[in-house]
Amino acid sequence: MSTLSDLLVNVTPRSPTALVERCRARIDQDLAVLAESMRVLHSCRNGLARIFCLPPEILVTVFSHFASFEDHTSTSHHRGAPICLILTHVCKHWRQLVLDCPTFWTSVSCVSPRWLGIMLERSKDAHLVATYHAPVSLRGCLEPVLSHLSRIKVLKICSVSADVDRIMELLSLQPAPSLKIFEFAVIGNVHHSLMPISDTIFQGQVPLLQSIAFVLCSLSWTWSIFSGLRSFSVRGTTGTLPTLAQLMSTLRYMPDLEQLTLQWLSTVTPFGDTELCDKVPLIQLKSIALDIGTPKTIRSLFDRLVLPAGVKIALHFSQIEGSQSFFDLFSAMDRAFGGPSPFVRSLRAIRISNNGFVVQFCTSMAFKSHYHYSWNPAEDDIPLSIQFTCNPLAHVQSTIIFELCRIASPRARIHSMFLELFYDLPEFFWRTGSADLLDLQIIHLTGSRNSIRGLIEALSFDDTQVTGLAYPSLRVLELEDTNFGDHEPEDLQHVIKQRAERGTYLHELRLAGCMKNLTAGQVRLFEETGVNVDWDGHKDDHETCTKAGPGCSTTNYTTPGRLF
Amino acid sequence: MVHLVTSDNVEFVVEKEVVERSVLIKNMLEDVGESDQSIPLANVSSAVLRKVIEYCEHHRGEPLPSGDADQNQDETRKRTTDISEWDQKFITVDQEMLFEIILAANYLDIKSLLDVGCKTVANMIKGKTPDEIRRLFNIVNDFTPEEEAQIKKENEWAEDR
Repeated sequence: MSTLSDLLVNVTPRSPTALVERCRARIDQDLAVLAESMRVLHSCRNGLARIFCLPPEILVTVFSHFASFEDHTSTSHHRGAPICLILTHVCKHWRQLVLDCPTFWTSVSCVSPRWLGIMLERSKDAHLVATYHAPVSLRGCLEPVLSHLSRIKVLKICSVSADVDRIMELLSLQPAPSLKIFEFAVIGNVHHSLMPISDTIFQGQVPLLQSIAFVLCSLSWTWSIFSGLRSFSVRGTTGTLPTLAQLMSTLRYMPDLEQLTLQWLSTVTPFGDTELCDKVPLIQLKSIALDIGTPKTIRSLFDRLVLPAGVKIALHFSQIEGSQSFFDLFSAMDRAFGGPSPFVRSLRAIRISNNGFVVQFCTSMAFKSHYHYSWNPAEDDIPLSIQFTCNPLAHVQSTIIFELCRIASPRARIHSMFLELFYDLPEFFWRTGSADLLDLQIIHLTGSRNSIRGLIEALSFDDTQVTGLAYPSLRVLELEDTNFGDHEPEDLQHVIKQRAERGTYLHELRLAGCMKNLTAGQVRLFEETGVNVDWDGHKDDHETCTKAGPGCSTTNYTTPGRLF
Repeated sequence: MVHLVTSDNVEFVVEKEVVERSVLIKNMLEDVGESDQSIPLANVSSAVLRKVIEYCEHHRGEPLPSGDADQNQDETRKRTTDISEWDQKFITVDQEMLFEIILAANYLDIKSLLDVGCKTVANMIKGKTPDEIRRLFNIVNDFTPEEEAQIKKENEWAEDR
């Protein structure tokens, strides 16, 4: 067989066309062979890359961890393509590994019909995690996914109200034997009554379902198919509000429930005082978050529940009816528990403003969570969280916090208190609390913008005082983003000294972001009382302080503005 | 104490509690019973075993991951960034050592160390383009023209708006 060089001798562009074509074809053929040789060599070279020492099963584990980023990042910029698509574009070996593993193609977000088709094909028979968010086309995206309902493990739908009835029809066409998590949210204005979620959904067959979350759905409240749930969450409804009796009937089907959230259902009709209802035991329950009306309504619910000890409780009230209603509520909670409540050691009052409070009790000395406006403490060791929004005209006093402590007693021996303020507390606030918090060791105060006069006066002692020293166990005072009024640093220094003379020593004074009326010289005065001072200082005063030499209070310099 | 001999013939004497974080060695010790005989580890060099022992010593006494955790892995995927500070410092090594640690963890059946290694590699890939990943691991593009055409299409579909 002649070589390409032999063939090309004497061939020019002006040679007979057939000859030129034959030469060109031959060249193309040789190029293809060379390209394939190069590709094979590239593959061989890849075989020498260090990462190729990892066997396929380990690489797949690496890729699984990489794919888990998808759970935490938006994929909308990929138009529904999975995050692991990138891995299939690196080299032949990686592409094959990812294509051969159906689980990398199971997170189906209904964004693009094209990707949807690819994902459904490449995921083969694996269980699917399907997410649909309006306004993407129902016909193009959700309908093809729901035709695979039998293998959907997680289904999250966020629909406009106009599509709800059609979606309900689709969901009622076949059983969902693999479904474990189902979430359905309705967004936008609702102009007509929606088809309620009832026992006809999934043809009444959803045996593995463990968790449901409904947001602003229309609900029949007469289910029997949702038995065996571990998590049940309803946030608002566009249908009829349930009565408390219906709620109890629903809960009766969920004996294995671990998490219960009922939110934005604040007009739930309570039981009549004489209305009888068997108690519903929820002995697996770990957390319960309720926003279903007044303390009276919630008391009415607790009166009919049997709960295990240690359930975390988060309550939200749109209106409160005075401290007696809290007393009744706490009594009902005590009756609902099968054992003693956990002993609480910390009190966090956050978002204290003219029209709202969040009060949280914690079993530890400090709160792990930084959710400053969260009322669901499921992730923290907060056994009790109470939030109430007040009508500004109601003039609820901030000292209701102490009333709550008193009512929570004896399970509450508060050792640390964290207050985050959105307005300055009245001066009598601290004096009021002094009688209830004898064990208080730590006060953390954030956001007192103008003055801490009330705190200083409560901590002070004069010889005419008939009661004992306020907050006798206080050892740590933390002031963050808090401003001193005129002469207050000197007055606080005086009070610290005065308490020390009576054997009540303050050990730590931490100051972060306290910008107003505080100088390095004043901080030094604090230190002279024997207290350890941790002050972030601000730039000018820090320089002043540095010049002042040893003994100045910046030894424990912390990040400005944050003590925790 | 347990005697371990590496592929380069270095002997390590390690406390039983430490070395039993390896399920492989734990099972061997249970099978063999008390013995002064050395255990040969033909797949692990001394440099790598030193690192593995450092890890096991730091994590001694911690509960071993259960089999159930594996079964539910796809349902309870932890965030890949969830590597403790100490583990992150420990695993900050060059690529060669990283992969050797992963292989050793796999061979010795130390699930938590394997997990840290795999998560670290996943973190290295995170946020990179295919080109950047190739450069990171000294890989070259070896796709066939047909695969290239398919990849081009996939990229277009992913960017399509």
